[in-house]
Amino acid sequence: MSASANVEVDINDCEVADPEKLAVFEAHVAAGGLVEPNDWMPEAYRTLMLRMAEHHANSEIVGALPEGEWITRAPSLLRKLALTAKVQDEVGHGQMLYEVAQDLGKTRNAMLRDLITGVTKYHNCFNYPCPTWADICMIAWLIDGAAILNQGTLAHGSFGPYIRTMRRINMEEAFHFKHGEDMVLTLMSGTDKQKQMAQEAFDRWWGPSIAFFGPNDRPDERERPAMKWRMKTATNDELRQKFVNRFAPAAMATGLVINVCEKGEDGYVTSATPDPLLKLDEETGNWGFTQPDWDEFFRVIRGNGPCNKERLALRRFSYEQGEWVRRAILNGSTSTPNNN
Amino acid sequence: MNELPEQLQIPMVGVLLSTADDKLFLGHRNSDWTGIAPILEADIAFSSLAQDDIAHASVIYELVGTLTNQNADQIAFGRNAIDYLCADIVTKSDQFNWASAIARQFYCNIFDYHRLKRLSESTWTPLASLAKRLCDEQAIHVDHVSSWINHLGRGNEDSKVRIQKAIDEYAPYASMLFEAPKGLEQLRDAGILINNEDFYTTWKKSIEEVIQEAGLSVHIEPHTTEGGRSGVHDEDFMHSLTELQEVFSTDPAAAW
Amino acid sequence: MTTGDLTTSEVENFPIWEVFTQKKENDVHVHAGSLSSPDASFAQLFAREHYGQDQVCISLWVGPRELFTSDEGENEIYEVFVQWSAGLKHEHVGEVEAGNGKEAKDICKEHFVGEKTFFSIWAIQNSKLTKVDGATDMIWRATTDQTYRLASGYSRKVRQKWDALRASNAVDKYQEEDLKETY
Repeated sequence: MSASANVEVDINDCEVADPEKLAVFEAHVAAGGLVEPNDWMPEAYRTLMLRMAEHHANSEIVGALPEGEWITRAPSLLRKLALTAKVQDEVGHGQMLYEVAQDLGKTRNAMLRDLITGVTKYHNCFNYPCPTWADICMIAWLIDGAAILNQGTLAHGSFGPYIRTMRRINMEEAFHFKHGEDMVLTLMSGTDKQKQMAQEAFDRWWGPSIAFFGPNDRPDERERPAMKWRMKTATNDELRQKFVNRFAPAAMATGLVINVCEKGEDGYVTSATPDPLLKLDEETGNWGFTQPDWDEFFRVIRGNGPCNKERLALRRFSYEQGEWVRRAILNGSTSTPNNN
Repeated sequence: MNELPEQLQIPMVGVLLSTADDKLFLGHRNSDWTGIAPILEADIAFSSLAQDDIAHASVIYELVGTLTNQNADQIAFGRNAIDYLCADIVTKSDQFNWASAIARQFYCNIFDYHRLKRLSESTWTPLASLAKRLCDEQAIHVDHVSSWINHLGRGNEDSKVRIQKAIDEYAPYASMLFEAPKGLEQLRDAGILINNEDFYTTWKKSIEEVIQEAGLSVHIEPHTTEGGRSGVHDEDFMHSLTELQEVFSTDPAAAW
Repeated sequence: MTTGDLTTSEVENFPIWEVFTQKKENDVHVHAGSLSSPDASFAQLFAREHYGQDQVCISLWVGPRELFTSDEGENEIYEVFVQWSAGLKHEHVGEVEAGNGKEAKDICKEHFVGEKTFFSIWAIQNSKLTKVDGATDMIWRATTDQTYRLASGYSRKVRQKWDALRASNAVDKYQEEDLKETY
């Protein structure tokens, strides 16, 4: 699962690039050219790209945690296997994205430590609780579905290592999404209790899904570095509308009701009313919808989400518990290759 | 032979279940590490082992299902505790200690390898061909876990102490893998399964080879008590079973 | 608990390794990605499970990153790889005999690149590359059904479920109409 890159860099803080080199670089990128790690790049590009990859990697390995907790309770052999594979993929995505960030100059250890100590962030949707099996189903369908839309555009970006990684990630994301769709359809074709569990989980996850794409576009979005330098190739609102157009009718076709929900501090729904704006505009082909609760979104980003402490505590536990292992194997006893 | 004589079906189910249950619960417990193992790359690799074990268990349950006319999920999820035939070692909590996870994996993977090898010589064709294929995959597990034993044994003083401690702690549980499942005797007498008197000694030799190579020691005595294979389970197993059945049991007839 | 100093001191970062995979028999080895590992034995183990499991893989090569770009080396056979343009992956183009890394790259340029444009060349001593042959040492799990981890494993099921849902919705709608008439 990806992050939408809402990591801003104050480019005035970065070393001012040689204007000539910068012009060449910008023309190259604007024309669709690609950038590899050893190419010259403005410091702001390096910093922004690194933060984007790092944020994305953090999100993968934190996102793996709530799902990881449900593997042992998955209710069939297929679900057990598929969920284990999904979480494994996410660790793999994190691993690959940390390598991309490392190419830009920050070590893995530094990144893991910054994540654990709260210096760097991860996607806020992983700060919400997953109280039931249906939450796992909704995450795979909605959040991975959102990630695919987002990552599809990232694959047209400018930084070589990142877009190569995106292709592999998107292939696996397709499996996550399809499996999620299978799980949701199974619940919505099932017993009344299953349908109710699904509806309640959908109420918890619809909001985070449409918020997934980040805050509303600024008027000068396309002139900002992230889009100017082709790190992002679509705006937040464009992607959000695309998501709603695809998922609103699909959700309704399964029998789910799209509600506007209020949540308590603990991340649980306190009220749910059908979204009054949910109508198809026949002319534009766009579905109207109520925007996410942006106050809540920013509150959660600032680290006060219900599960933030818990998730980071688990990442810290993993890191600290594992130190002796890393230390033990560091001076590898087998330094020569073992060929067959 | 393709058709198993009717009177040997129940004994065969016993043997198959003990094999599949070991694998299901080993994979079940090892999947705990997916997402939080000490190194990202190791996490990914270890998760493959957990998936393999569950996939292996699934195909064995399917084979059981051809004899009992049930589907694999019903068999995997739907029994009472006493009807699960896994050895205690597979569910003994590793306390999130990587050394314990590796030591347990080590004993079990090598046991699984030799067990599958023997099952692949069965005169019942469906079992023999399945076991042979699974055994080839099992070889990957043996290599993987032996590599870890070696690296930890030879890593530094600290890792040597930790892995040795885990090897010692799990040794008595390891020998209980050899508690014979009901039905084994009957199948051997009928010539369906080969006589495997040297099963224990062959396994022990494989274990000792890797241990010695790693600069460690191991001391195992043959088991004397009754345990998981007789359906007599401990608290750790009950905890695993509760987890396994938590969602399934809310509606065993539902599709998930 | 989420901020403040960690109780562990930092363990040195592991060196980085590059992984190449060959999917089918007439394919060349293509760069699959990188990983961090303390040594060749773990690098091989990690590479198999991370880069050998996304699709059928019959051969896998792993080597330390610094050697691929190094100008140093000994006189021996080098495997050489070309990245034809920015954005593409390095591909294996063949073997050359050379005295060091720089020479290997030069010979590669001459023999395998010629007048074509290219972006980057990698060369590594054959003796420093770990090669895993799937024929003798299983990489891809062929014995159990792996479709549980592929999107293709769910396409048909999902389609069938959608069809069933729509059909039952249509029935509900139909019955709803029916009741309306009764009342």
